[in-house]
Amino acid sequence: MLWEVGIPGKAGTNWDGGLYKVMMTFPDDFPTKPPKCKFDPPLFHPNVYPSGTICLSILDEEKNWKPSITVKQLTRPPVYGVGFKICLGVQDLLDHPNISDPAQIDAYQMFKNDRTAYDKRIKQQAIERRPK
Amino acid sequence: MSSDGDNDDFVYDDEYEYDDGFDQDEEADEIDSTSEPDVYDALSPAIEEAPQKKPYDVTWKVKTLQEIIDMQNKEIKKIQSVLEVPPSSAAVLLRHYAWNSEKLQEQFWNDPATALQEAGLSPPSSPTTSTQPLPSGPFECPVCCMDYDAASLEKNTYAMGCGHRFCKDCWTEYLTGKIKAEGESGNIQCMEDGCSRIVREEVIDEMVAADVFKKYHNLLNAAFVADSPNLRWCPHPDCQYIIECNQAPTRMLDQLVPTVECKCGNELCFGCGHPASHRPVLCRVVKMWEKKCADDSETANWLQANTKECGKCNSTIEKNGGCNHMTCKKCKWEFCWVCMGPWSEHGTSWYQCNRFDEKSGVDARDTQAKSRASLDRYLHYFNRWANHEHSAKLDAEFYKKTEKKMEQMQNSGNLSWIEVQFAKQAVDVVIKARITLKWSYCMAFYLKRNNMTELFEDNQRDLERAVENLGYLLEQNIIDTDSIAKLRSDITNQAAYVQKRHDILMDDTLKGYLERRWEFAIPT
Repeated sequence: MLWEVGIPGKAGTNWDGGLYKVMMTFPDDFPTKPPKCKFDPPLFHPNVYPSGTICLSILDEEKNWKPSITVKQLTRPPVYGVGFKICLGVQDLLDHPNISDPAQIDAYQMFKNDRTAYDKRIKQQAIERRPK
Repeated sequence: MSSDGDNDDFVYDDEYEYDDGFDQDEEADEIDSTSEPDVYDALSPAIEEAPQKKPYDVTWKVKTLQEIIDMQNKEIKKIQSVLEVPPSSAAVLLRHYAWNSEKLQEQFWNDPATALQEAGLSPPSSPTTSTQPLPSGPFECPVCCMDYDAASLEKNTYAMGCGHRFCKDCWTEYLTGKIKAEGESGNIQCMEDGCSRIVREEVIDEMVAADVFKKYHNLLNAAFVADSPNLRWCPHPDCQYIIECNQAPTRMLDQLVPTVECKCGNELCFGCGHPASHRPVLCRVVKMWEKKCADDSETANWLQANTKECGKCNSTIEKNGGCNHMTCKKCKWEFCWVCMGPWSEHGTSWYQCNRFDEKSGVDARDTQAKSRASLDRYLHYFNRWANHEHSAKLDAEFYKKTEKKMEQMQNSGNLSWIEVQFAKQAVDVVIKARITLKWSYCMAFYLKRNNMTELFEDNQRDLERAVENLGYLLEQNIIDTDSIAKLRSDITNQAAYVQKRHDILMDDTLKGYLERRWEFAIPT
């Protein structure tokens, strides 16, 4: 099963205005195993791998994934029309990167060394990802 | 290097003495009687292993799976009665504290509620599964979103002491997936996000199919063995035994090579789980060596191509058995397979084929030559190591060839089946010695150059030469009855000599660890 999910940036943050598309692939043994979540196209963010795969502990079966996460934390009733659901955890991650667990070097280094440039880049990305 | 053992009193160079005392009647007597060790020794000298325990040997026990289960149950029972908790809770607690019952009791009596909670159990005051109140209205399973009316709640849903209720179908699917697909057992948690309550054995028994429950138990046993530093599974295929050894903790592995033998008949290293003896080399050195050989795999691949070229006519030669004394089919050039030097230098004079002289051929000013020397040095030891490894692969063929020869001897020499067993025993000795020699080259590669290393290489050379001579004798063709008698005495003597050299090398090297005699040059 494959879901196409749009995650809006939280209002009032640099991510506001953008709609970030995530492909959620559900394995056969879901919900024992978590869905694989991948930004498509890949996202400029410290915890997103260059391939677009999201590095988040609740999405890792070895870490904090639990079958009950499905409904409560991950999804909510549709906001942006049918087929779109919000990944709360992922939405929260957008503005709160986990710096101890970087997944891509570009965003990580910019976040650490030059916050002004990083914020600018995020705002630019939000404009690029504005829903048409 | 001298051997100061008292048990090597057999005579291995006096070949005529036992030749005379060798006839059918005596032979038959000796097979049953071990009370005449002197005569018996002369027939198959020192092939039997010395029974006494050496300071570098460890004692061990081979356990069955049932014994492992009993060990766990005994611990569980003890904790159950001391802490007054149900058996499955005692098991969860013990697993949490890696079966260290002293630490568990200390923590538990210090603060029972915290100890229970940290292990993933309900504190004593909280409701249990049975006292957990059922929701009054209809219930939606948080995982699958299925609705259950109040009447079917007790039958179709389940909550542990933590109170997180899910439908039984979801529990079954979750637990089955955890056990079958992920191989988890002792630390499967509640399905609720953030809840670290452990699912206990009786819950699993209730929720999953019988075969999954069986697998759960197998995984628990595997985890118990893995968590216990004094237990190790026998690594040999289809072997179900577990080895228990209390004398080889990790901190001792710089002084001991704890080779043990499983009931399945195979040897293993208790220290690292290597599925054969790697004596006399320490576990960590073996690991380093194997990593190096894997890293240099390109070179190793090239090296392992089993062909070499004749030093005279450049014909490509593959060695597919036999000893190291090679004769080129084409030009009749006789040479040594190991060093490729002329064989004439080996038979009579100094056998120079086991050591690598670092000094020769290295121009200290030329860094290029230096790096080549270090590669050459590695290749030197690797070649010799791989050579013995390759020989070991031909063991089966070696036995087959020898068997054929034994038949031949029975037919043409009028010898009984028992009388020709010396040949098989000699092959046993050769194979054992070759494995030791193989590892001795790994050892020599990492040893610092000093006097002790020279002595080590002296022993190594003596054994190498003895094995080579014995291998040569075993390759001899049988011509007539007289030559059989001579060959038999030669082989028996040489086998005894090899065994003795083998024991000296092994004994000295292993004692050397205890005496901290060996200095390693471990490249960083």
